[in-house]
Amino acid sequence: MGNQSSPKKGRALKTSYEASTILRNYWETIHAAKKAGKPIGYCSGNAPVELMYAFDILPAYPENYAAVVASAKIALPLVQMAESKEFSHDLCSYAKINLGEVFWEGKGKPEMPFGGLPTPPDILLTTKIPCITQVKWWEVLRDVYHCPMILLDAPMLEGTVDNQPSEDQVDFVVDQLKLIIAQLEDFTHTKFNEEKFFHCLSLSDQAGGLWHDIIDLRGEAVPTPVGSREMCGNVFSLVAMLGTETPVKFYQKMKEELQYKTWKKIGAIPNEKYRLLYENIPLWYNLEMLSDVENKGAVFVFETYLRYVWGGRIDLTDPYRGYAKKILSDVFLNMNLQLRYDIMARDIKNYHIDGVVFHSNRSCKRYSLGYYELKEMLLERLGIPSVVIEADHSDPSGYSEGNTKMKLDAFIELLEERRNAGSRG
Amino acid sequence: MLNMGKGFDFREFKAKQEKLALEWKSNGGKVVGHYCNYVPEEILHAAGILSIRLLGTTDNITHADAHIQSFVCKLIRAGLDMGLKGELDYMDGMVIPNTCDGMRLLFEIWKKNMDKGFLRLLDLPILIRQGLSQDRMRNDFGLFKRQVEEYFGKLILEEELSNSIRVYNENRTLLKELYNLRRKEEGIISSVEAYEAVLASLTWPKELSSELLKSMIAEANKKIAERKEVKSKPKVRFHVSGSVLTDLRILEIVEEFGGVVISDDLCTGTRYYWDNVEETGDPMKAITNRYIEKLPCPCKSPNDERHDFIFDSIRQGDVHGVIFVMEKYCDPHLFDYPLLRKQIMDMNIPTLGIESELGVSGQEQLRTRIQTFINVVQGGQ
Ligand code: SF4
Ligand code: SF4
Repeated sequence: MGNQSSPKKGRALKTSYEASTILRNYWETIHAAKKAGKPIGYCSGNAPVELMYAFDILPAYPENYAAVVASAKIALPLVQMAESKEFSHDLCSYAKINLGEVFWEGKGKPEMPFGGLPTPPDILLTTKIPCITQVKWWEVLRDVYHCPMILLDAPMLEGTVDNQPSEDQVDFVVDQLKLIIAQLEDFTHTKFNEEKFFHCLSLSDQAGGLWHDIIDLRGEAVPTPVGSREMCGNVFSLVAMLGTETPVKFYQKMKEELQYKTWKKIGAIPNEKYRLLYENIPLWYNLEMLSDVENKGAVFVFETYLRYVWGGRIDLTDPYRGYAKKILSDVFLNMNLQLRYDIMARDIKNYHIDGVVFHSNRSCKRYSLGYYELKEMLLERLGIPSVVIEADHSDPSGYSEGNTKMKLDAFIELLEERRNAGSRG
Repeated sequence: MLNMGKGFDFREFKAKQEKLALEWKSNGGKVVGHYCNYVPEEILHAAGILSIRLLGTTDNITHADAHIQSFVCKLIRAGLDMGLKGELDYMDGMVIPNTCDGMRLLFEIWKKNMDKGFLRLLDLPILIRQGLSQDRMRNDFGLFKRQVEEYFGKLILEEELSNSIRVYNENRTLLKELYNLRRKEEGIISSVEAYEAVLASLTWPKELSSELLKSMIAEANKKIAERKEVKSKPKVRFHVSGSVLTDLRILEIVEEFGGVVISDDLCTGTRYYWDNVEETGDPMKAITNRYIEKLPCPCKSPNDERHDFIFDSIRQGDVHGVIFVMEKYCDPHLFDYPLLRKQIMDMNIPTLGIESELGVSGQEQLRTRIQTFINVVQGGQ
């Protein structure tokens, strides 16, 4: 997601350099399509994007674009514009950034990266899987652009041991997908091409599979070959391009590079001492936070945001149900607390993690509530220490970099003490 | 029975509600708390359970801050706090619906810390105008009914369900009658009393609430018959929009400056009682239909029906201004607010936005704002 303006060392992975080309191509394509009169859909995170590609509707992601805006460090004026239009300061900052752009009035608008979102959208596709914000925000867009809005409703995962939705839940989502297909047929005045859809699903599954392999490779490897900051820049094609060839090719290459690096034991940092898990959405305006710890020998080797928000496998032998299952079960935000804990506990073990950094994100209630409970559970049940930093993923106002640094430094010291005590004992 | 005219005090109100619940318990009854307008209370009632809507507290938060962040609405934080402090120990259960993100996670935190009694999450569809959602809701309500039966060891007969529907319908009809009276005969019932009556309906045994409502309505009708009401000066009439309104002092201030609240779309108002359940046919089906078709909350989609309800209320010609009482951190309402407000202003109706956390701090400032607003509205009349 383009961390343009921050100072960076070189990338740990050569493949990562291709991410910006992919991003640029995507934006060129979508603007060209809009110019040529092709339909553009605004999609929210976890909405069934494969269906959009199956219908030749190009998806744009206001949410992801907001992250781009925040990482270009131009979020503030947009946030302030939205607030001046009476959108509460306490709403999700992705929404505020987007609505700031939509409702912009007067001078001083920052130059928007990639020429801004293509407007107006022709259709809106959203879901409440990650949050209710996406539904409410899309309703605002619907009222602004007067275009059709499609909403995929979904029940929450209640935490069965195997992390699988019930048959009823799957049925409900399958029925909805069929309804959405009918709506899209109406909208595009074309017949649904099931074969094409299944092909998109297969590409999506391949990309999801490769992504999981990548996460496993870098998580299991000691030392880890690549840290969070760089990986946050590599997730874009998984967010916006599932159902196309692009992520498959990109992640195939990345996987091969990682295989080589892990086999050669080439680490992202010279002397890896502490392995961290990052929980929640990164601070897009301060991605440095993720790499600053590396000076102290700590490295983020795993993020639930990268693993359990985007991607996922699909059982292609039963495509509709397989797809519905993926939609329901692969998103951290759609899981109950116990399930989140179980998954974290498993990953902490698999990825040899020493400590967890929770970002208590005032913009994202669905991700952040329950952290005090998780923190306690991790310590009591696994002896894993954690720290909670308070911030917002995209609204930099009120963020104290100094405070965060201090907390993280103290946390790494704590890890050090624990390790020393452990080796003495 | 109510505080009539003495000034509203939520603490006193809560004490009374708790007393009633304890009385209910001492007679062998069970009590279940719940949040939100989407819990099918008729099912609980049919099992002989007193269902109480949790309305929070005006007390300071002392226990909840260690469990939930402060960027969540006070309703959620206050309820959790009460639970952690043991103030809800008299309840035999708690039902939390999956409405907004805060509520959904509240259930998790509740479960982790207070997993006792009949604790249930009600995960209902968000889309309301769709056949699929109707089916899902019927399944969810069916499951809920079975869970109530199993936990409390009481089979709910169809006849009992039909009876509960009638009890709830009667109560809702009375609340609506009160609403109509207030609207037609302005000033005959004070806004504070009227909203206190809704709070009572939300938290008292329904039969008792209905008795109260009947006597309030009889009283008002008597006044009308005796033409006792004095129409000294034309009142300024308001619609109030928002979620929960428990700090009725806001209404006191409105009345003090010559205003009166004649309509609302509050979840402690019309959204609770506007729609009845069909009394014929299969009761579970009728209950499902009512909850899916009711005047919706902003946690459901599409959201235009609530907005249309407000516009209709204004178009009836007797609303002079709209007061928004917005709970801080309430995403669903806060997303709707800017465009809704604009549409209302486009109808030439002034609006006032008040931020609340189960109440407004800074009473003096609030008085000034309301007074100024009433002047503005009057000026425009
Ligand atoms: S950041 Fe959180 S609240 Fe905002 S859109 Fe994403 S999931 Fe929803
Ligand atoms: S007041 Fe708003 S934020 Fe609070 S529980 Fe109700 S809908 Fe959710």
